[in-house]
Amino acid sequence: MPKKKGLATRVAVLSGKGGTGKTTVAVNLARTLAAAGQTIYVDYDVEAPDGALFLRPELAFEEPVLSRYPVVGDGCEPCGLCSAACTYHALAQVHGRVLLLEEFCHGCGACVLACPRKAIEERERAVGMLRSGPAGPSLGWWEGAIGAGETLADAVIRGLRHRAEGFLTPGEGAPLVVADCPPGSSCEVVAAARGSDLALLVAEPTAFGLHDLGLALALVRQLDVRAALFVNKDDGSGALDRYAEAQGLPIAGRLPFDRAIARATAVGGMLQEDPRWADAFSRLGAEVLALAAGEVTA
Amino acid sequence: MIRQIAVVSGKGGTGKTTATAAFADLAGPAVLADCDVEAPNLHLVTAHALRMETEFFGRHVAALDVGACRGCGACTRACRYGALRRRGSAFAVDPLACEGCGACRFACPYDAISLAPLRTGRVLVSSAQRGAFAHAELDVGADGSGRLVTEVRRHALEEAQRSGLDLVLIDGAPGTGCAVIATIGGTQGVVAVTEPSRSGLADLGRLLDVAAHFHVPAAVVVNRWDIEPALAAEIERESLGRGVPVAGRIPFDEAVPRAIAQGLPVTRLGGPAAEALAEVWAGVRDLLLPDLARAAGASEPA
Repeated sequence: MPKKKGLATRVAVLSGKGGTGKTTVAVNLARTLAAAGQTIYVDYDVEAPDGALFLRPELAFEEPVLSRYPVVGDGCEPCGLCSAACTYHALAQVHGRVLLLEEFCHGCGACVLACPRKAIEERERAVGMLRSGPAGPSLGWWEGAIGAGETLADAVIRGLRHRAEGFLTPGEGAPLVVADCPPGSSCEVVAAARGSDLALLVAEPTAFGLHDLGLALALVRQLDVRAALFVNKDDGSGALDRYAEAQGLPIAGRLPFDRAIARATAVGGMLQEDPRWADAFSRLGAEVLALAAGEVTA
Repeated sequence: MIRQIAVVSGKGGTGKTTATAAFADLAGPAVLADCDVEAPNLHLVTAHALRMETEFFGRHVAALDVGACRGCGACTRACRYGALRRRGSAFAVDPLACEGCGACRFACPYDAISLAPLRTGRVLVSSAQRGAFAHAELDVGADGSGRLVTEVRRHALEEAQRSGLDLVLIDGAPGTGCAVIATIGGTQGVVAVTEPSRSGLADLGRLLDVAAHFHVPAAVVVNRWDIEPALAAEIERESLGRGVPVAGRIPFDEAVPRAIAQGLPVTRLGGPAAEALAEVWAGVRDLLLPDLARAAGASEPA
């Protein structure tokens, strides 16, 4: 997808496989970039938003994501047309009454239009929450969190994207956006990653990691977003390097497999503040900016 | 009665597939199901031969008959996803924006819109050593992973019935959303695999909330517990505090990546993780499958 001129630079951090270190890379990258200019970290992993555990932002704003749902009124003569209209099977006919299975309802409004007696009204319910606040000098934080038992992750992601990025002013000094995407390869990842200037794929050099990196790369190529690889938990085997070379995928950064890193991130530590890893992230920051701008790097 | 056990985790990468493959190796005859349809990995550590492959049409997309469209625009007002746009004197469907809800059908006064099924992936049924293996691949970028999960589980149950096996072991997706809800509904219980980190603790809490919401029993397993022993203990305390039992802990072990590289369950290589997984499986049986545990106990020499 071609980038609209003048909008903020956007880096999506993603991986097919879960637990490869997306959030670790995204929060440390965001804080590194914030040292050079206004940056916004947006946590799109709405089923497991963990960026705040590392960035420890101040909660300044909170708002529910609403979805509509039908309420069948007195005018109903149970004809069953609303149930037949619902492609999500959210309306059941039980003993001459219409029963809503709330967790299946997508709030599309088809039932309202299908009812010949206009007996269906709509109300709104919260399916998730959006939160934001400052996370240090020139770093903003946003997250979306889906409610327990709710299924509309894509609605929360769309709501978050609109709220966190929809009002960014174009032009000089526009902030940099680091989008921490959900794992997997579904439409939810598409909703979080599309329209980025760079997709940073975080992978680990295991057979699982390589397999799922292939899925993530296929998705990014479908979206026509430039991709780069971050080699995490590098064991020196070179498996990811060979894959990157074969795919023509630039390597933007790497971290070794190291128990000290595992321990630091386990307790919510920031690696870019640690002299042992600070350099790796300042190099990553420079590399990411160059790649996002379309400059060829060695 | 067929019993279903799902291995899940709020956070990704905690070792769901490693645990599922080990349980499959330890459990004896059972049907396997990989419900992590967005990033399936169980097939990489399960010897199997593909037996059947079917395309899955998991959702719909609106189809507009341009000849019948009079360009009134009623469909665009009905569509909440901005999927119907004017093109010349008629309208056109943007298939990427369309959710397939069909609201536009009811708004159109000229019956110009219908719903067409849309392919979202493939369902695969294979033969593994101990029983059938149902798995799937969601098409890249496709919608509706929950429906594909449901389809995989339907195939797994059919295979269990057909072959007279009474246990289905399910490898689940990370998270707490649609795919996870489709994975855990109607199971005898879930094994929640986590790791000793702040993220692991937070995501486990979210997952246990979802399991409780759907009244599914859970048992917690802390993987790589020795990376941060204090947090492992805190996770176990918090789980017990909310009434969720702990099935065991697994130490960090280099044999795990080695087993994955060789395409084997780690139980085949032995070592500290393999030994711990045997104890964890016994714990899972005691906690979530008490009748199976009793039967196994009765057949073992005293």
